[in-house]
Amino acid sequence: MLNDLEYFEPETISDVITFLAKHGKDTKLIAGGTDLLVDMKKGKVKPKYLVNLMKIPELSHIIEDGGGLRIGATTTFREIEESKLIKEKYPLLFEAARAMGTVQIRNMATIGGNICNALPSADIPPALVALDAKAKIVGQSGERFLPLEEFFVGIRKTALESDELIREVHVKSPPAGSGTAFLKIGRTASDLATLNVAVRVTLENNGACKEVRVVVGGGVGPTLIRSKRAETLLEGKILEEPLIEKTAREVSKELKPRPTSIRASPFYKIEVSKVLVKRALMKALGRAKAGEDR
Amino acid sequence: MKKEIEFTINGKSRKLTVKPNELLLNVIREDLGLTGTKYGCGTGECGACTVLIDEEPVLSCLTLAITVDKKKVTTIEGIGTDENPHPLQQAFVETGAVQCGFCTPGMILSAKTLLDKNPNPTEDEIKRAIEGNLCRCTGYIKIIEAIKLASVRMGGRRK
Ligand SMILES: Cc1cc2nc3c(=O)[nH]c(=O)nc-3n(C[C@H](O)[C@H](O)[C@H](O)COP(=O)(O)OP(=O)(O)OC[C@H]3O[C@@H](n4cnc5c(N)ncnc54)[C@H](O)[C@@H]3O)c2cc1C
Ligand code: FES
Ligand code: FES
Repeated sequence: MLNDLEYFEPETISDVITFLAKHGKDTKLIAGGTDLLVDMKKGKVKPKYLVNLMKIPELSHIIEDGGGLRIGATTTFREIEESKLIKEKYPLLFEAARAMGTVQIRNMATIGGNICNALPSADIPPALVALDAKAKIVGQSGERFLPLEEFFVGIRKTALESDELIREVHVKSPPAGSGTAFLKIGRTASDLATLNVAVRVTLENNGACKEVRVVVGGGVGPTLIRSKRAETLLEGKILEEPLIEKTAREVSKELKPRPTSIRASPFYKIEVSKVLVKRALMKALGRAKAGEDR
Repeated sequence: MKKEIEFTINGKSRKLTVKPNELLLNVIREDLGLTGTKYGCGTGECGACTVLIDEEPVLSCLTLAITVDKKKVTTIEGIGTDENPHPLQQAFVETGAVQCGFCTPGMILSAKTLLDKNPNPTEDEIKRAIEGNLCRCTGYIKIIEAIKLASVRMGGRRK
């Protein structure tokens, strides 16, 4: 079962930072516990101290602010899925949150935990990267912002120091003319992604592609992959199906699935990525044209 | 480092001393003797250990007991009795939605949350509400029928 440990329930962020500064190396922060407790049950991690973040009011919120959104680290997936604001203005986050886990898991799991656990198959990170999100990190030396794609440095490895935590995620509101889509393939409803794709297409008034993000996750490398090829191939162009199909093929060349992945072979992932990326781009393009996402 | 927690279980306030590494599932089954809540996988996949915390379905196998201090916990024992079953319990029995019964407590608690919020759900909404509860016996069809029947009896659904 779980190892013996000491448990703390701070009510402020500064109490967490003070604790981490002293005991960071022996401490695990716990939010929803849906990753951490599974790891602890398997004996993969044995923290001496457990610090619960769920009783800290200043960590849980969804706030619209200066052309963007600030989501507190302990906001649950269920809260994201049920937020009217997110559904209307950030449908990409709604789709990604809804594709995650089960009702029970979404009631427990937090956005901060999903990011900090840094699994390359996590569902919310690709959507956040497609919206150019930043993590607001706080620690002993103050606060810093990091673009989310730089936050992930390897499988289950992040840019966090041992005295730091994620306080918030900042998301820019998609520019006018944007359409987005999130698609996921998994073995069952509750499974982690075999492959997931988040796409944002932003069109100019003349219909040309102003900006695009194609972000692929699901164990296609040590971290998610923001495709540079897609950006080079599509930005400035009028998007049509043959170009999108070609782009999807190019994106698949950037993926490096591990041969040891338990969910699918590298061959399968690469073949399926071509279909999934194409579908996501077509869907996002359709939505951008229809002016559905704003 | 033990700690005393005070929480509501099935409408009654309880004080208990727990160790910080104790799981809510074990406390419910062993300390409180409420064995309706089941231990299936222990890793969040099956939903057999579902309980309601503050009216929302969560997994007691991945919840530390110490974190439910001051919260409201509901198990299957808290929503009806043999003499006076909840309409969902009655409908599950009548419809044949129970075979071995291992998934039933969690399934009913998930369904109850759905019907409390959405008295007249579509079939898709029912399926989504129970996506986190695996059943190895029934094939789900009878379970969906039972939830529809309960929804009618609870006044939500037109026949
Ligand atoms: C059955 C099941 C199905 C799942 N399905 C999916 C799925 O479909 N898609 C998906 O993406 N994930 C899935 N997961 C994984 C998991 O639920 C998510 O990653 C979840 O978001 C983790 O959040 P949490 O709050 O539970 O994190 P916890 O388990 O509490 O913490 C995870 C890690 O992050 C650290 N941490 C938490 N918050 C912070 C913070 N603010 N700052 C710094 N560090 C922090 C913790 O110390 C810990 O190391 C599933 C898990 C289970 C058990
Ligand atoms: S026992 Fe908790 S989900 Fe299976
Ligand atoms: S009735 Fe046996 S698992 Fe559902």
